[in-house]
Amino acid sequence: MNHSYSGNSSKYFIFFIIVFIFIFFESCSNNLPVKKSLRTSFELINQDSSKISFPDDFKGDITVMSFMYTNCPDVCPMTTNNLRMLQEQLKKDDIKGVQFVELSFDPDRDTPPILKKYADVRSIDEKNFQLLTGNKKVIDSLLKVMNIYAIPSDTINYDNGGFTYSFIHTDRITLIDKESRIRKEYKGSIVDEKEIIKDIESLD
Amino acid sequence: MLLLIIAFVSVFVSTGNKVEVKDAWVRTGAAGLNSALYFKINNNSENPDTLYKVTSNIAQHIQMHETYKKNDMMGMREVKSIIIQPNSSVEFKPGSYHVMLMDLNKDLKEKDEINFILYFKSEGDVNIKAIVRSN
Repeated sequence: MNHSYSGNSSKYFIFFIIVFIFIFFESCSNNLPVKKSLRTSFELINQDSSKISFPDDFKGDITVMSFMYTNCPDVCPMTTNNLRMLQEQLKKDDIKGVQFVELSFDPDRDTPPILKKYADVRSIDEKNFQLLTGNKKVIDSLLKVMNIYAIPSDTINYDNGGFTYSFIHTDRITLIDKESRIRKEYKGSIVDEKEIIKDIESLD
Repeated sequence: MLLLIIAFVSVFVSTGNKVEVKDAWVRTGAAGLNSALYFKINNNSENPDTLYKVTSNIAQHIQMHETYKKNDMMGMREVKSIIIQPNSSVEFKPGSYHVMLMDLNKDLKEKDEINFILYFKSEGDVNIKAIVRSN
């Protein structure tokens, strides 16, 4: 009787060990939970005035996405530069299948030619880096899906009586997997490049 | 008489560069768009000084601004003047104080050098050259 009890204990022990090992390796192989699936596609335009369906046109690749406006002098260019540096590092590491996207939340001013100028002066390699703009309502809907806030504020008055405006906005980089699912979000202006590369590799 | 000479010498010696502006750089930017100027100010004197204006022919409009954070969102607002306390430094850096260059008159490309004049209440005008960088 004792012998039978001991045998059952061993079986339970082995079963729990197997379950533990399975859970352990499963969590290590993909430790980024799905935050949201992007089910709707949004019709936008890139810096070359080409039509882009987001996220449909990016399916099959990992996408690193950020949000900006070109009249921003400080925070947004920091984010753009972080994406550019990340793009350079992935090239050096020979990591392929990653697209970079920056969405403007200021489509009234950020037309395709303006986005093109913004990219050109920064020597952005546009092979896998697109800047997107489009219809304001469409962009607002997409921002809502991406949980990004961008509110016109802080009017800047010029000495000659003119004025411009800036935005108060979310500072964000979003990592999207090959199946158009948001997997992780980071601060945009200050990033840990190694962390993002590690996360990209974990999705590959 | 000796005291008078010492006082005279100290006045004229002390009119040297008590305010230093170092490590000035400008972010790359496209003509018609905006950019920002950054630098570090050292006030080596025993009195506070105030930076109240920056000028250059590189942009149509120039203002001092600060970036602020509010509920995980980032914004910016104008700052009319900045006081640099005695024997202290103030740094204009990304995500903080910056000189906003609005409606650039030309493209700012890496390694270009741009002239600026900084106006201080005590030190007066300080001419600087800033190098264009991409970060």
